[in-house]
Amino acid sequence: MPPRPQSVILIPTLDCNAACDYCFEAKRPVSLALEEVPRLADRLLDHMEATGVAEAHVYWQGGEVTLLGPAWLERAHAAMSERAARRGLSFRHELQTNLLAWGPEWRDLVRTMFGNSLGTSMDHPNLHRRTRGGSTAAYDALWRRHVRQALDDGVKVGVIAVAHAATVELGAAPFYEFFVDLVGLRDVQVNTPFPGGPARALWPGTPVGVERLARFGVELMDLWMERGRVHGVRLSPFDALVDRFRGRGSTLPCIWQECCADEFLAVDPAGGVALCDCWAASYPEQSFGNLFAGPSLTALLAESPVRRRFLQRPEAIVADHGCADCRHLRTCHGGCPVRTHAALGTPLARDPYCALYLALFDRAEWHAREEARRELTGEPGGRWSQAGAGGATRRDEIPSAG
Amino acid sequence: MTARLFHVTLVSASEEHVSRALADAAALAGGERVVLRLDGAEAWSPRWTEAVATRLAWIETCAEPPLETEAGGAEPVPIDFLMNDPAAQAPLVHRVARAARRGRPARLTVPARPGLLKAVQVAVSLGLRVRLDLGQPDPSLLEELGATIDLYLRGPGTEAPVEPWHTALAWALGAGGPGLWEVQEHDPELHRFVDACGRETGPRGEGAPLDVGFVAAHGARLAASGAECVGCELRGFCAGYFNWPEPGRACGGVRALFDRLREAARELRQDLAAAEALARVPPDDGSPC
Repeated sequence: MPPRPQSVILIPTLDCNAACDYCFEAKRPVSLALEEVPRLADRLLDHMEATGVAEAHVYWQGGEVTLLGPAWLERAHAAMSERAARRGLSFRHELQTNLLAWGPEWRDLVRTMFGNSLGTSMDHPNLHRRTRGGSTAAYDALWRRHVRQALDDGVKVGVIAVAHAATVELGAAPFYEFFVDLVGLRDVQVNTPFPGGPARALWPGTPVGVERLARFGVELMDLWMERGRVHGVRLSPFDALVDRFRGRGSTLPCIWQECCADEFLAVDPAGGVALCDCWAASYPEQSFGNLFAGPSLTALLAESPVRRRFLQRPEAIVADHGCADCRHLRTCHGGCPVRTHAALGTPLARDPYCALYLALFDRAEWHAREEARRELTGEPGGRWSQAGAGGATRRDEIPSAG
Repeated sequence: MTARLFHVTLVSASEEHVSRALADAAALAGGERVVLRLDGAEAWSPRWTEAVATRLAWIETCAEPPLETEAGGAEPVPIDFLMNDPAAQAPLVHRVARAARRGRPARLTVPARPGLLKAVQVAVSLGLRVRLDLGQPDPSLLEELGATIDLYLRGPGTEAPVEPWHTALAWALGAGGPGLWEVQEHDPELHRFVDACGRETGPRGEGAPLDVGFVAAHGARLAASGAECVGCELRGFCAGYFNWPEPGRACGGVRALFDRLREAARELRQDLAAAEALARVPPDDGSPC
């Protein structure tokens, strides 16, 4: 089996046109020089060759990437592609943008460089995202207008939404209906918040009670299974979980990788290398070193004591944190190191969202079984959800979120 | 019939030692492929020539895996990590799995010692193949062994085989396959062992059988002595495996383990039949009639 692709979270700028309350990045107008892109590409390609990896997935994140302008990205893309092709390797590019600067000038670039798709982010209700010097309402209006334009341009738009306290308070249905029915998105990812970087002062521990979040998550999964899955709406991570419990191939989000330090790295505008964008921006003391210094990226990664500590995390979790006995170890692997570090001050422990994850795994497993049964019997999808109205499945058959 | 494999223990992975071992094994076995037993750190980062690599079936090692191994390369030689102390070494399974993710086929051999369940739990969670080296397990380990069967049968998403349960289930389902001696790599007809001094030893340690026809002869001896396995339903698969080296060892405990697999096979057949029947029933359209 060939090694998995390398995932590179590239942060070419820390400049941003938004001023969100809970952002974990310390924003400043620092960007990667375009002239450095070939050198950066060479370092990545050298590492791919050394580790036998044929493809790297480059996730362009900020700051706000679009502040660099389409011409900058086009030239960076050309330089990276040309260098990779020369060595029989490849880069696949993904874009994460707040869409505030979206306009027709981005259409061609998104098609050629990013496979005509992009990821954006928004919460519901939006209490924290605001334009620089502006309001959350201004952010909402601009974002929705630009999402509409991108969709009308034929771009596939996915959204990442953080479930914060007000989201949970509002409930699953308004959340789902906002993104899917009102905005018209068919690819939604729900993330848990974590208090890293400048946002650290806002929340002690986990920002939302885990049990409340678990109830919200289970309700949202039920709703999506009833209304969205059969119609092709993707709601991550639930879609990947249900597929996994059905025995189908699926890619779980990075928080549930065996060891994210095996496959992920982030590069900031100055060439600083960290485990992911969360670490790069929130915990500069956890840097692996600089991409442009030293003999190679491979040597940098191999010798970094910080990275070696991350590689040891799964061992620590199995040895000391009781995860070995968990029936969902295969799915979770102890969760996300940065969420753990943000809450507990060390990554070498079990993710504090453990109870949420377990509730989601149990529920996804149940849905997978029900879906398989319905397919086998030809029963129409969604029937189980009529339980309260005299449907075929009793409510007590459904595991509760606790 | 599986080709005979020589497991050759080497004191070092130098080209001279490896070449001599391959030549000796070829002369002894008349075969081409060899299992190398290497207990130094080089087991995890070998630099074989292609000519050598193609003759190696796999490498088995007790050496602690490094935190990171290099990429497997184009023709990686599989590796089998032989655990000594599964309770203490369970976290190291992550390192073996990391080597596998980097392209090197890997397996974990877990001895029947306390803590075996934890090692198997971690291995299964990482999709690693497991071979439980059973021997004559101590009765105090039967519960842990039973839990590994449950994990193999019903763990959410268990994919990689856990031997010997995987092959035993195939037998219980009527699919046949290799017998227990072979699955455990303890049949001297198929697995020959050469120690670091070049002496042949048996597959189950000092005093272990060396005769090529040992398994058949052992079965015949048990039958002649009226041992409890004479009327046992597992005999075709087990062939007296649990009656060696102590022929008189009561095997009710291990038989109960295999009964779980036979029960699972029965349930599986039932479920498949029920699913077929279910698929034939027209869907309920919700109308009261």
